[in-house]
Order: sequence, then structure tokens, then C-alpha cells
Amino acid sequence: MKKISIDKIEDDMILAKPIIGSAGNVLLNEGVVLKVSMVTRLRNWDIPTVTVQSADEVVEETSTTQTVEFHSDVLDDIFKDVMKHPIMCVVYEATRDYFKNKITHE
Amino acid sequence: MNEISTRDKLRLITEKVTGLPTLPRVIQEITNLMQNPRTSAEEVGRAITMDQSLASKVLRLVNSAFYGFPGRINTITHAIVILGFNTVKNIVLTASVFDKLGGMGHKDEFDLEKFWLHSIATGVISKEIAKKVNFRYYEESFLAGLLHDIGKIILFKFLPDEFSQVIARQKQEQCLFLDAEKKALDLTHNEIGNWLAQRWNLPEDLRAAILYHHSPMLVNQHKTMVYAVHTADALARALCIGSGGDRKIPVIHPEVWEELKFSRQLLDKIYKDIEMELDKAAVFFQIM
Repeated sequence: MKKISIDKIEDDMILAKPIIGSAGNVLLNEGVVLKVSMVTRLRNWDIPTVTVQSADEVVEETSTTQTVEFHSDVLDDIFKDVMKHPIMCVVYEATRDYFKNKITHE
Repeated sequence: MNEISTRDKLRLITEKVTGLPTLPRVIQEITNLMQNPRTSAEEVGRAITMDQSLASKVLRLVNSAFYGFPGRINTITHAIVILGFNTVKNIVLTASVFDKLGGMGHKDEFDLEKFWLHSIATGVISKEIAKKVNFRYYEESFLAGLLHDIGKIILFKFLPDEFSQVIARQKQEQCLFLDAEKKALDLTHNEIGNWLAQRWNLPEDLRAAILYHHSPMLVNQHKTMVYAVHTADALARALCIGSGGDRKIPVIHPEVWEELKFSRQLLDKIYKDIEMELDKAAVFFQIM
């Protein structure tokens, strides 16, 4: 299998790993046949890369720390105007921990 | 005074809307039929099947993992017998909304797919909150969440000039879409959505959620449903699922948090329990 940018998707490539959405939900399962027409949707789902079946050797995984930082950057930005509200701090922390746990368990 | 001016503004803006789709007649027919205790499943089934395209979407939803009913359901009448009138009516309404207002596309950086993702996620989270607080109308809570921002679709599809003004304002001020609407139009998607809900004769609980999801303290009836949608909207944004036209999060009202008995523990549980539901909700993209 190999990891490719969604821009490199070609018709009839087969997913070797499921695509996981930002909330941890499976958007497309492994084994799904990809089409170029799906690229816009993947982009909208903020999916930068997919792992597809290939005769090539396993290509390196993106480091998980990078993903954690990505999520916390996005979160910090979304929450930046509301952190003075105690409830929103709770929501922020719960969401941040949720993403962190998600990544540790993958 | 304020009330009158809002109404006038709404009238002036909505007068420009042309070609607004109507909800299928079948929804009113089902509502009427359901009021008669002698109505049979066959009669309602026949009414729905008159609209073949709608009936096939309803069957697709009924047989999807999202609704998760055991066994295959092949006819609308069978669906009614297994699921009951009310559930089928909710599914018909859901299918109709996607039929009439669904679809993809984008304009001025506002992406309809992201919009629907946000709406579906808000529906899924509203339903989960309703279940967690033992609110019996959890199916309706899904619909309420799904429809809460429907006014934005009216702006997008039928009021392009006003829509562009809002988007420009949002971009300039990096504020909530809601605040951009107030500044650009002095009118919000809540009021426009409520106008549509009245036109479509939607049930009162859904209308309350559409009108008050950003001002939950103003609601007198259907509080739990409005509170669930108000909270779900914020959580869907926190989880970055889709987009309602801004990358912001509105503040959850402390009284709502209190009334729903929310806590960090409940929040953790909701996040965990919606994962599977969000996955199953992909079916809605297949019926658009």
C-alpha cells in the first residue's frame, strides 16, 4: 500500500485503510473503489491523504504529533473568542482530549 | 416596535424569493390521515407511494444503518407497520427536505456540502443529547438539528445578493455568520428559516428550534428541543464537522448547560457515542 495526496487519486484505486473523519467517524471503509469525482468531497472533509492498495512497499506514516498539533491549532482558532466563558473552556478541553485520545488509539 | 420592523424587513426580503419549492402534498396528507384513528397503514402507504421518487428515498433511508431497523423493508406500508406512523412521517419529512433543498455547489467560499455536513452532525448530536436527557422526542430532535440553519439555504439559493453581502461582511470581520447577517441585513437566518417553516407548515417544535437556536432564553415552549439544538450546533463546530459559513463557535448559554445537566463527563460520553451515528449518517449524501 502507499499513502498519496488526494490530488493523486485515480479512478479505480482501492482504499487500503479506512478514511477517518475529524470526529473519528469512518467516512469510507477500506476496500472502497475510489473515483476522481470523490476528490472534492474528500477535500471538503479536510482529508489531505489516503492510503491505497499498491504493489509498492509500505510508505511512511505521518507522525501523530503533527496531527495533534493540527487539531489543536484549528481548535484554538475556533475557540479563541470564547475562552473567557467557563463552559466553553470545558467544551474546549473535552474536544481537545477527545482528539488526543483518538490519535493515541489509532 | 422592534418586532414590527423585523417583520417588515423580513417581508421586504422574502418578497424577492421566487421559485421556492413547496413541501410535497403528501406530508400534509399524512398529517391529516394520522389525525383519524381509523386510518390504515395501507392508506398512508398509498399516499406516500403516489410520489415514486420520494417513496424510493424513504425506503432507502428506512433500510439504511442510520435508522438501523432489523430486516429488509420493501414497501412503505411494511415500513409503517414496523415503525409506526410517526417515525415514517419524520423520515418522509427528512427525505423531502433533501429532495427539495439538498444538493452540492458553492458560492463565495460557502460550500453546500460543508453546510449539510454541519446540519447532519447537528441533527445527530441533538438526537444524542435528547436521548441522554431522556427526552422522548429524540427523532424530532434529529430533524430540528438538521433544519436549524435552513434559513441559510434560502439565502444561498434564493437571495444571492443578500447572501453575498453577508459573506463579504463575515470575511471582513471574521465574525459569526449570524453577526454578519445582523450587520449586513439586520435580519438573520433564524427569522428567514422561521418564515420558510411557516410557509411549509412545519410542526411548532421544529419552528422553535429554527427560530431560537441562537437565543434559547427567549423560547417558552419546546425548551428541551431548542436547548438540544443550541448545544449541538456548538458541539458540531467544536468537532470541526462541516461548516455553517464561519470558523467560529457560539457560546453555549449557561442556563441551557444547567437545564440539560451537562457536565464534562456527559460531554465525553456524547463525543464517544456519536461516532458510529455520524458514520451511518453518510446515507443522507446518497439521497441528495
